[in-house]
Amino acid sequence: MGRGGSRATGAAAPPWHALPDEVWEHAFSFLPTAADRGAAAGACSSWLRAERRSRHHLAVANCYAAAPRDAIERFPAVRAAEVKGKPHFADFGLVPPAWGGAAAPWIAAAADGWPLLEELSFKRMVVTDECLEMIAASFRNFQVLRLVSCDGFSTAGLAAIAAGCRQLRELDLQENEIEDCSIHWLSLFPESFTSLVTLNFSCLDGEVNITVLERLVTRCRNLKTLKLNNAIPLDKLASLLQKAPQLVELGTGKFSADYHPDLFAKLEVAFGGCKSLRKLSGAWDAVPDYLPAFYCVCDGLTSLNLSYATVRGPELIKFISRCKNLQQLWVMDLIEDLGLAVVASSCSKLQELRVFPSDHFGLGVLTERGLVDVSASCPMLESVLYFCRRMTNEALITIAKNRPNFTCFRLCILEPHTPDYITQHPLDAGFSAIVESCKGLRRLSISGLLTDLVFRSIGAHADRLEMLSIAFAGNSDLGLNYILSGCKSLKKLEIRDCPFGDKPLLANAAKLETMRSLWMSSCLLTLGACRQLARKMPHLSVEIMNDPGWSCPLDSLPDESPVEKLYVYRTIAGPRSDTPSYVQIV
Amino acid sequence: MEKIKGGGSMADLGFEETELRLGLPGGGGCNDAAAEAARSSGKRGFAETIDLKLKLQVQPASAAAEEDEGDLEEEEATAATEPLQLSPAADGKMKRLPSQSSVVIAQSDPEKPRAPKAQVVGWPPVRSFRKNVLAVQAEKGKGVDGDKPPGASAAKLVKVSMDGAPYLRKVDLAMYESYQQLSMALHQKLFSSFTIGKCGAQQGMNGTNESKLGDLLDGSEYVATYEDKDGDWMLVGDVPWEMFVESCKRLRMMRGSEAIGLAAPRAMEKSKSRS
Repeated sequence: MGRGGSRATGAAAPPWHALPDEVWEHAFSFLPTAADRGAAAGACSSWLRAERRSRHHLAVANCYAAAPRDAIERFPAVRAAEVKGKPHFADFGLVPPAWGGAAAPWIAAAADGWPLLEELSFKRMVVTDECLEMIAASFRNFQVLRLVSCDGFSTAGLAAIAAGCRQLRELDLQENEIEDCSIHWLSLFPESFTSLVTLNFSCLDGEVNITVLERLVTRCRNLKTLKLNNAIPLDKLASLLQKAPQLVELGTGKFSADYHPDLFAKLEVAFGGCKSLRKLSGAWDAVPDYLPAFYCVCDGLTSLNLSYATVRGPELIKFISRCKNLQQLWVMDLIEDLGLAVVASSCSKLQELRVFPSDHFGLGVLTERGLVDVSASCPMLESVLYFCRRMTNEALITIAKNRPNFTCFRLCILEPHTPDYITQHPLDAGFSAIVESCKGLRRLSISGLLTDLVFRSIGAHADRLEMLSIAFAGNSDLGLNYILSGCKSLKKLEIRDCPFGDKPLLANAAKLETMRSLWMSSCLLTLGACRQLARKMPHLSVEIMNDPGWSCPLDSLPDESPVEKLYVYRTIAGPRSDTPSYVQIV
Repeated sequence: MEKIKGGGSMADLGFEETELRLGLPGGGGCNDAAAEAARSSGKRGFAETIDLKLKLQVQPASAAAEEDEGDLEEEEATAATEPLQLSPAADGKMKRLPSQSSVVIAQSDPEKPRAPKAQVVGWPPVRSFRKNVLAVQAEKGKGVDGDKPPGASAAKLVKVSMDGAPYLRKVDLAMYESYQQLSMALHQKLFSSFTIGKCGAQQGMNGTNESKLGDLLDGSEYVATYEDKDGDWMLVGDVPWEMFVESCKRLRMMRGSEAIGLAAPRAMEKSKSRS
């Protein structure tokens, strides 16, 4: 298309392709997702220029996919960045320590290139106290810090944030390992500091000065989310609530004490004042006698996280049955089938259910029945994470028929290779029904006894599937081949303990570049195949991990050597330079 | 080939038509197809390697790998009684080990209740964070009905910090029976992670990481100390093991030079003799 200058006639508007960048930037601000923006940026150079200069939020799903410098150069106006590090299976201890995922290079680059940065979010990365100090010192407009499943820092780092970030709105610490240096970091928020909207320190092990906390809560009138740790006793919870009745989200921390009618009354009054409370969580080793103190907020609750609550039985059920507007429920399997039946009949607006295992070794009374009931009666249910001990194909087929609207279905049968407990057949038919029925399925985890057949179904039907987790399943290379040659939208694939070998990997090498990452551990891979893959696909980083006790140089090993852990991801940054000795990049 | 029989809905899926010939792995019937595939590819059939009747034993300190490709196929009876041992092989080659890092011991019958067993690493897929929280909860709290609290394992997890190290570790004191065992575990956990050449290349903020690691590699000695229930910092090793486990809240590997101030005269003796 040529420039329209010569065709302009008097007062005619400029042709669309000559519109100034500001117009495109404004137009792009209406694009809902980063993927849409990325697509627009690919259309032509002026759109690329306009889009990248106006991108304010950047999500880097794999910190090694690009160098920090690349991100800064391409998107100079970023105000909110989110970076993720270690592979997902690191959550379960499959990635040895010191693997990588340091936040420091990102923070250093951001300090240089994004001085106006307002938000940072890190997941599964190593964040040190120096990192936190640098954040506090580098970004004068810093407002939101979110750390999820990170480690490497202590309360000293938190102190730097408290003291240095004058505009801080959110400090959200989720499931991190934080060393307690006995520094009273909360006291370092200045008296003039009132901007806090979210404060979540539930994962902090250690004491917090309650008086300081109370003063902080009192002066931060905009506080909406407060998640306490288990060092805060119940009576202090009551007084905190009275100081912050505007709370929308509350994490009670440890909720247990001997029963005292005075304390009960105090709590009841406190909760009664919290008219805006919508989300509740906490580690409740609770004396059930206190649960009725919550009854007044039940009706308004949209989210309930009892996944650390060891409350069981009738009291729990009484509580949940009052929560008629619940959209999100996380519980332990202590709820049992009976409790889930109550959920099914009471919580018609339920969208997400997660049921966690309470004890690896005990036997509860949670079976496939509970999931069937909930999926039958909750029409809006679309996301499930379910740990149980037994399952049948029939149950899964019923669930699939009832709930074609699943977007996330994760079923974990605790014992590997467990078949349908009635027919003793593999659960292929059940999971096949799920993928055939749930056309919008984006995330799937499968378990139990499974043959290659289930992979054939998944490969053929799961068109929208983006993340797939497989463990102890399949019979042969065919299984993996089905997945890699199908699943059009696959981004993340993680596999452990399956009899998948070199052939499907090499046959589908090109597919790997369309994906974010692949994890394979305890499969049947050899070093030779990994070498071939790396040679064939220069834009993939092929990382091999072996037992940390071993550190033989890769070059000396023959092609037939088995590979215990493989992590492959696409990258424009080339091989990373911060690998520990047990990780080798082929 | 064992056809999948069943209710009408399952037959509709047409599995009978499939050209894949599959037996039920590990189940009662024919393993021929799986075993055939295994033989032809020259690799051990996976169904056999983690056959639930197989007992694999891992010895933590030194493990010896055996090259027994042939033995594990089909003969489930012998396999069940033959413990596999694992080790780094003398010639530096990595041997085929049937997912030794994943399976420690497997149980055979999913229906029966089990005594606490050694677990498959990272299975079930529950976040370590969650496991730790529940273990601590079980330790501190009581079950609602006064019986064994759910989520209980007899874990005694304590944090271990090491001067100069960028982050902490956790050890489960309940897993050891003596100071010597703890010392071996600590040595493995703390020193194997850090005394590695490439770590220095990690992009530290201003090289502080590198200088710290330099100290480590210098061989400067560390003294194990712990914080007890009263909040005092004590030298590890003075009290009987059980008492130590009872009262230990956290561990700290203190640099030799800093430990000189500790009350125990032994420590002063040690550090004097070092310089």
